[in-house]
Amino acid sequence: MSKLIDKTLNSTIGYISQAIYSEKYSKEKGLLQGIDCRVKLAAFLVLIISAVYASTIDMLLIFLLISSLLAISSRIPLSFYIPRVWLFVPLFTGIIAIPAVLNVVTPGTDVLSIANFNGWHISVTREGIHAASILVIRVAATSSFAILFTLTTRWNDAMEAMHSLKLPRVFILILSMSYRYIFSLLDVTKKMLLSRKSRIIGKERAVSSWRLYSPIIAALFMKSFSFNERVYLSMLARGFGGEYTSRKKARAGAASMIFLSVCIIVPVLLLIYERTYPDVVFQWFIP
Amino acid sequence: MVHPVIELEDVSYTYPDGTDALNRISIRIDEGESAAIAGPNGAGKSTLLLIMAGLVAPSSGEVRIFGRKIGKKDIGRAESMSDIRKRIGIVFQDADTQLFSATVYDDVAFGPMHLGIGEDEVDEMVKSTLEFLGITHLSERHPYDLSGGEKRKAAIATALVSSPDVLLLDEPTADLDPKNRREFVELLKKLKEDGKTIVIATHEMDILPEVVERMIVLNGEIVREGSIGEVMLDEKLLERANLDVPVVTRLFKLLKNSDDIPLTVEEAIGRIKEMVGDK
Repeated sequence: MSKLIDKTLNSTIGYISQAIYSEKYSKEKGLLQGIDCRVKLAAFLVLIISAVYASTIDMLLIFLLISSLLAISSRIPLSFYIPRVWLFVPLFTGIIAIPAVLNVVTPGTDVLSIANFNGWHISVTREGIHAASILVIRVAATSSFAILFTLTTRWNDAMEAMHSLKLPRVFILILSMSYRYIFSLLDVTKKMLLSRKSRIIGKERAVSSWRLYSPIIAALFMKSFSFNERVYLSMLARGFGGEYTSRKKARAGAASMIFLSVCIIVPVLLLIYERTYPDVVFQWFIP
Repeated sequence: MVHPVIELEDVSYTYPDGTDALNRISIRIDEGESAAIAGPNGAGKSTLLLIMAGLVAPSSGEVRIFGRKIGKKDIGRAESMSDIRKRIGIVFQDADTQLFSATVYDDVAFGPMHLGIGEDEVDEMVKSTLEFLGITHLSERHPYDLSGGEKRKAAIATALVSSPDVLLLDEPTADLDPKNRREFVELLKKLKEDGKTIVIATHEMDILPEVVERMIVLNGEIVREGSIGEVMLDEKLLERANLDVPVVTRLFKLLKNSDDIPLTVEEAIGRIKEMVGDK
């Protein structure tokens, strides 16, 4: 059972330190950090939509290359950036995409035969590999831009960008406060688990330890409830009446507008090229 | 003529679970006055401050803030309470409660922005408050990254930014190290000189003689009310209320058993100089 506590503790501490560590890149003096957050959000939306519309693997790889170049120019080490992009992609999308490589889902030319029985067979098809690869790389390309945005934008600037997109103010406030209090809640969780761990002698049975964990969860819930009440009172004390007001940003500079123009023109040209010369585009992974 | 800023009359408060927190409290806080509400843990000090700030309605009794009667319905109304919110600043016991934005700047700006003050003016107010408290360097920091003392200063900044007439402080020195505590006492003295009304809820007696004139000992109900000198020297009362006298006072009580006991270090220095004949 101590393994579970240790793992929970490590994940908690890991999350906090990683979140703080990631914030460090938003303070670097790189290309994306100097771009107005609203412009950056709009530019990345264009890039994400373009990546969704790209239909070939090599075009998607070009989008991945663009995101990597942007990461380098924003002083984000690729050794930090690439694992973040590819960590969850193979894990989730890859698992979802596995059935797509089989002939039962995507019929086509067999590449590898897996099983044969009474006229039925299961095999990996060329078209299946292509469809699965497109899906995985597309998710990687689109998520790479989203990750770049979060890495190079400070949280409050991201909130400002959402505000400028006319998202409901209360939604932004809730999001902003959730981000703030997730750290406090993790801190409380960490302390509670450490105190629990400090009182464990010997091994515990799984059932009895779970029985002891339920009061911890209940206490955490009660603490967060009372915390929530006090936060509301402190907001009320400062004039809050249900409508969230945030500071407005100055106009975006010329550099930001040039960046936005490039981020619109380049993907549009790439997509036009892809549609105009489909034969020139090399079809990857197709044996 | 001295005007009352906060008046409580027969105020009682019962928690939702039925526990009585406050019982028939009547207090009057005058303009420019500095008072302490002292008492053991669970005495109802925090609840009393929330009622005094017009944030929580009492179960019974009457609350008047700046002469205006505050009812249950008024509390959630931002517009009608705007003037009171502007004129009363409160620092909560837990600084984390007060720091909910992504940066210290945003937290300090939150109050003035919601009180309808123009953006440029808010910027000026925030910057000057941060400078006044010597925490300009924390402006763009995430509140989670701050130390206990820094959080406390940031929380004080959120209350001071609107230049309130009344400052309500709940256990303000709880997270402060000795150096920061000294700085905080100096800050309170400065605010007092500026004519601010200050109410401190605490069970830490050492700082009180330097910053307050009046002391109210609370334990669910008012146990004693009087000048700081009178209350501080009532040993039996303080013992009953789980409170202690400042270290310097205790020292002089042990050395010299008289009524002329100093409450602050400065007073003690004066007495010692008198004793050794050094003028």
